[in-house]
Amino acid sequence: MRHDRGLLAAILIQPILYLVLFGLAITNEVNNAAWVVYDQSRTELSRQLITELTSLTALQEPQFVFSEQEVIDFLRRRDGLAGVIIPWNFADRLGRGQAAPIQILLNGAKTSSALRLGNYVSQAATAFSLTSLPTRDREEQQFTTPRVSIEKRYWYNPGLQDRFGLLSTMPANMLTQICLMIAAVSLVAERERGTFEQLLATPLSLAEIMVGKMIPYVGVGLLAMSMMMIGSYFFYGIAVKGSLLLLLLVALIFMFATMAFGIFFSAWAQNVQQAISLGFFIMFPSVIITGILVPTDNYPLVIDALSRCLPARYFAHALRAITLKGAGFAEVGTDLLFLSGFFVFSLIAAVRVTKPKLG
Amino acid sequence: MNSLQNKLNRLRTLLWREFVELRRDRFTLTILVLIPVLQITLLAYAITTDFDHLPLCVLDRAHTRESRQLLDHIAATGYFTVVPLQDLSETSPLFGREQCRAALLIPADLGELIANRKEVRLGLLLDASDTTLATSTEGFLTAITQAFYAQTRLERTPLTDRNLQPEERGGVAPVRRVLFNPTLSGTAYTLPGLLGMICLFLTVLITALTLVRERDAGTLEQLLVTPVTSTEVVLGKILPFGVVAMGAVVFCVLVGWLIFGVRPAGSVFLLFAITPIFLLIGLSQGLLISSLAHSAMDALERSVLTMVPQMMLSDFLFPLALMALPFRIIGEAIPLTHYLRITRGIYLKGQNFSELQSEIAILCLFLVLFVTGAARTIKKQA
Repeated sequence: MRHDRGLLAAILIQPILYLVLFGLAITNEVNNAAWVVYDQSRTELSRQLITELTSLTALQEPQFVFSEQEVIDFLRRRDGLAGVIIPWNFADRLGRGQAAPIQILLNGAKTSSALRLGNYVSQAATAFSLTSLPTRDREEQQFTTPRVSIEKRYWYNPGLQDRFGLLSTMPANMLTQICLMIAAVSLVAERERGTFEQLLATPLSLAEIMVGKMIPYVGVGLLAMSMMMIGSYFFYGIAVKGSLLLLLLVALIFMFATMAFGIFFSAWAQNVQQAISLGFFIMFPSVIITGILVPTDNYPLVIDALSRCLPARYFAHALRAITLKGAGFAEVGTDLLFLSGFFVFSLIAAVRVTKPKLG
Repeated sequence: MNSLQNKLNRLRTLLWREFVELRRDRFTLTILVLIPVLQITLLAYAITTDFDHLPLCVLDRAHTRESRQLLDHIAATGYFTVVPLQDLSETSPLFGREQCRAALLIPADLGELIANRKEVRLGLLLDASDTTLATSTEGFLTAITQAFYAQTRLERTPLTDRNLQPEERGGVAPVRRVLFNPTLSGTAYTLPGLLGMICLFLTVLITALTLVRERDAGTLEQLLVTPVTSTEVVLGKILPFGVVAMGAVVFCVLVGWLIFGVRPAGSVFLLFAITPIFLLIGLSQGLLISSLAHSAMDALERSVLTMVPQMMLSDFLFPLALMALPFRIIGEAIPLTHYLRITRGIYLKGQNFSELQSEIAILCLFLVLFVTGAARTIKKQA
């Protein structure tokens, strides 16, 4: 391990990369998004509405366009998210106390981000009519407006920032990659060079040798994970709410389990290239369907069952629970149990698969 | 003319050599082609924004007819499954185990509030560790409870008075119109993005790994002392992989069409015509990586380090339009961003060549840059 300084550097760049990308770049907040307005009405009231839409939602100032075609062009050619059309009779209808429709055009090719922007604008429009318009008849309004409201509390992430969820589970992504790819692949490399056989001449058992091989990677993994956590704390104020010791325990078991799993799989690979491609084959589902990027709640049954067979799912859950929610042993106990079981099984399987090849 | 003939002959020999090489390592090839298949199935199924029976904890302090009606209302939408709570303290461990993501608190005086036309305030605790889930839960519940309230009030209005209820009230009425993907289907959005991701992944990784192996074996040096030019070596290397990757793309389009029912609104031939440009960019990127790498592990790490930012800043999973300006500028400098605009343009908006020509031109520019870059690096090493 010490021989390959370049590799070590490449591994340790990753936490920095993730801290920047997930901490600063990736967001679902629509404050930076561009949008357009086609104001057919051009009245005091419509201008007031536009100002309110912008200020209430903390959106950017809209660009003004002058035909419906331009709005559609903005969505179609320039791939904008949303456009608002205020019809010519907007002020008239409002003046007569009638409902004045405004059209919100959304770019469906952008699904969730366009939808979010659209929701912001329509909420702001509703708020505008409640606060800024003179009510003709108080009685009447009381009768019809839905007098129900929801008071919400955002637990664990009061500012509703996307980086909380993403950064807290990112170690699962990083450690999966380090353990599955690098550790398992380097074992194949040793087998290729024949240095692995030399170790077998020593009086150590195969399982002992394997665990011994894993230890340096566990060190690198822990280093990368601590970089990630320290960075999240100092730059973004994401502190670990639960016990650090519990977190360390889960991380250790996860790393050993994943490495044993990787070694078991890499037994099928004849050379490093094959081991790498096999590693990717397992890594993709481990990252995609384990709740690191996409929450597991809406998975269809088959995908859900599949993801329960992957150790990353339990680790991602434990990371989120301990870091953000301050969960204790009671909540992550099952995760620990699964991960330990996974480790034992994979190690036995790895030893079994490796043994006959050596004889 | 003769020299051109020579060149073509040489290229043909090189191509033949690479195809033979490719056939020899069938294992790697199989795995690398299986990966996109796996990816497309998993992602298309997993990344769905559709809510389906999400567990919702409810602490019903009222236990009246109204509160039961409200819960029936919520359950009837199919978005949530109601999990009754006895005490508020149960919420935290349930959130910790992620057995539910939201808890609704119904006040004890719900019935009286509705009867007296007073404002009903429901409490909602949200597990905000996933912001998308939290905001959509909130949105759905707001809509459901408002509909419930309006209906209950209407039911309690004597029949004779119902017509007196004002039909419309002055105010701004937002009307939403979704263009291009009216059902806002998650699969239709993810699939064209996946195509780009698969192209990038396959091309970068195959070339990066194979070339390193050739260098280890010393066969690359043998090639470079022959009279072939480095550009020819580059072309000979990348074309066979390109053919394999193109096959994978066609396969994915078919899978999307036949299994997920997502088919391009525009011309599928235009898509197939543009894809090779992007494949060549990915292949030369892989060549560049492999010529700089010392070992297969090094090549692997370098490919991962280059692919991660491309994946994050290209609008693949995370919306580029919402990012801060510096990241949007970096995003524009990534070929994948432009290729995804093309695939989504064709798939969702049905755009044609003339609408996409500026994106295609940018891709061609990237192609020239990357191929010359790769050829130069290889020449330097020779």
